[in-house]
Amino acid sequence: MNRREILKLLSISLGASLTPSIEAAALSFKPKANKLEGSWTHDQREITHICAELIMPQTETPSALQVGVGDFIDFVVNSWFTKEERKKFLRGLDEINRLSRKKYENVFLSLSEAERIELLNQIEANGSENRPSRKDKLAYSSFLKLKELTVVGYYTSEIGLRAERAYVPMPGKYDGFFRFDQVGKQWAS
Amino acid sequence: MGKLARDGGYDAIVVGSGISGGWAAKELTEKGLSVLLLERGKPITHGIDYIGEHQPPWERANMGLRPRDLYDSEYPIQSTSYAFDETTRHFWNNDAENPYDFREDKPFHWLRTDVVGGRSLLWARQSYRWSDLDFEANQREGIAIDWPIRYRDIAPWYSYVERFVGVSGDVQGLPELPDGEFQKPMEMNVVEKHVAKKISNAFPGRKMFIGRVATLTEPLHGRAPCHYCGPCHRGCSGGSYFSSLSSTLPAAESTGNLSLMANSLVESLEYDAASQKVTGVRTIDTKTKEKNVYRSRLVFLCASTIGSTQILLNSFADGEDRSFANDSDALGRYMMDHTYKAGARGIIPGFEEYYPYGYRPNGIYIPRFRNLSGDEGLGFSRGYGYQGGAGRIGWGERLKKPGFGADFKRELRIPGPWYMSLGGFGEILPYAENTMRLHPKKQDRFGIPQVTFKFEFGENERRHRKDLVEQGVKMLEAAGASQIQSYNDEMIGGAAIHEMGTARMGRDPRESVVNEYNQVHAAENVFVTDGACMTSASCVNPSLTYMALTARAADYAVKRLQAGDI
Repeated sequence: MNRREILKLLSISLGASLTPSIEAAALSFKPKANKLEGSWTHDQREITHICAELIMPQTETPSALQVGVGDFIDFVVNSWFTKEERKKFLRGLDEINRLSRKKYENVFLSLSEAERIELLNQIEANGSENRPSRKDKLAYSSFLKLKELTVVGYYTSEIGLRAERAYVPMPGKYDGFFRFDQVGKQWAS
Repeated sequence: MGKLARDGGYDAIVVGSGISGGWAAKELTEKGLSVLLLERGKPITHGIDYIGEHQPPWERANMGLRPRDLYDSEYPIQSTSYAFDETTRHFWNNDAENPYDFREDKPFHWLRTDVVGGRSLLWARQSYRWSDLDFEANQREGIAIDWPIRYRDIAPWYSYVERFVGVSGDVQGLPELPDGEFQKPMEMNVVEKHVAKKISNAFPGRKMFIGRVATLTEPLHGRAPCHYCGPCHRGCSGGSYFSSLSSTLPAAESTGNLSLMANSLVESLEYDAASQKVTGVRTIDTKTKEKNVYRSRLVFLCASTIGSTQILLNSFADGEDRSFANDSDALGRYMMDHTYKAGARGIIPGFEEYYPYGYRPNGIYIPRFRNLSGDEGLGFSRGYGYQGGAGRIGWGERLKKPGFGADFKRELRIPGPWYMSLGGFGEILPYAENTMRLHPKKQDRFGIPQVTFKFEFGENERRHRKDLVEQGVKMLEAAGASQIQSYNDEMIGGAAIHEMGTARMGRDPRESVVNEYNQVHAAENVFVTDGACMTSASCVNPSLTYMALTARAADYAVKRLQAGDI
């Protein structure tokens, strides 16, 4: 997806209400190449991006990938994780693939969206059991990490933050009795 | 640059531009003295160098993530602070460049800045007066030595500094925590008010109210009231919170009497045994390593507790190998801090229709309620206060539960339940064995002996912490909290960043380093007015007391100077 396509998607999802700064942010959004070739495989990376899109899909607001979460995940996995963290995370992704082959006789990337959702739901259910097996735990912990990265990446992108949170950097006052229904979203600054 | 005194020196040299040094510079210049202010840190400009101020999340360096390798290798100590991240790192000390020594099994955290303005830029701004409960404690219990001053000596100076600092808070009429000259208080939120009522109902005599904080709620001297953007430690170009940069240094500069030299580390003082005076301040330029000696009639050491004592420990009379200021053997001893990272938190059910607006840079305060009228037989002396607050848990709560997709995305918009937290700050007693010394072999990059710490907590501290955790839980129970979690983390000296003592105040030169006016017994033209002078620690945040003592000492010093006594 190039940035023109993203802009087009955004103007659909946000109506025609793109502010100049959102437009600027979207235009400056440059998907980067995988910086550390070999630190993970193309398929592993693809799994993370697909999962991000399932975790925060397009609704009345843009999806995870539309706001740049893919870039964020690439950065974290390539440049921020320690070697041990990356190894564990990628083993969890491989385990997701193994579970996929076991259940559907197909790798995760070849599943239908319904199958992917079913599998990830199963991974969450098994992983959050009292005593998950070592392998279930591995797949679950990588998926949980992906959920966290998706949310953090979404909420630290300009487009995502402005869409899903109430961005109020300069409140000007404090009101300890403010009512939630007046805003309907969590604050961000 | 300000004017030089006629004899080529200055009337006064102030070492350190933090919260105490800023006050010394302001008071001395306003009284007409020419002042050289020496700061080891980098020069920064109010407003301009607050690079993190109002920075939106999407512009944060490193995608907002902590560069962990850098922090581990160069900032292992400083990065333990909540206020340390990429928006503030330029204010902090580089641990790798400025090492110090401690025993691995007894860590001591020396958190320090490396800029003009010092830690006044990063402090948490809580501002409480001491009372005679504190000033009389050592004498009453026969611990260490008596303070040579009482509340009546410092009360007018608290008022004096509060009027300039701008402290917001409300009047409570508590003898153990005297009221100050307050701006209008910030507000407690709906749950804090609920919890406050429940606590005072269940525990007569205990009170919870909004913190007293050096953040403006009304305009003052060209500084703007708080706009509630949240992270004060990134700097506030409106000057809403008190710092040297927003307040005392501009006042000092406006007199025309101030010369400020950054990147100027003080190595030692030049001491003349015959006249019992300091005759010069030896500096090292941190950029060029060039050495200089500056001369003045007065010297104010405001380099922080550890910094000022390090300078004194490294200052000898000719032919001596021991500090000129240490005939008492008290120099470098009786180091204190506050106990920290113990308390309790819990969920307060209900109130979910409320969601506070604005990011209030302040919390609640529960003042000390233990041993107020003597030993209550609790197994420990003195006490502790709580700081904390109520708020709603963010999206982390939803993240932990299963589910993803459109519903998950929508549910993330709703804040989690209300929590209430109570964290204790407890008084640490002054122990002779808790020391900072100059290391016999290790030196820093300028050839100055490194500081080595030996700091241990005593039985009294362990006992009051156990009690404060228990009482925190009980008060949360009384407030109707569920899922109460108590915590009592590893105790680390210096971690509360309230280090005090090591050049204590006292009447007798045989057992103290400075007198009742912060004047060094062994050198009448030297004053130590930062945390080093503290004879005991109270349990309240100390900065307001340093400011009041500094203004009081400056007043005294100038009067003595004008009378020809110094």
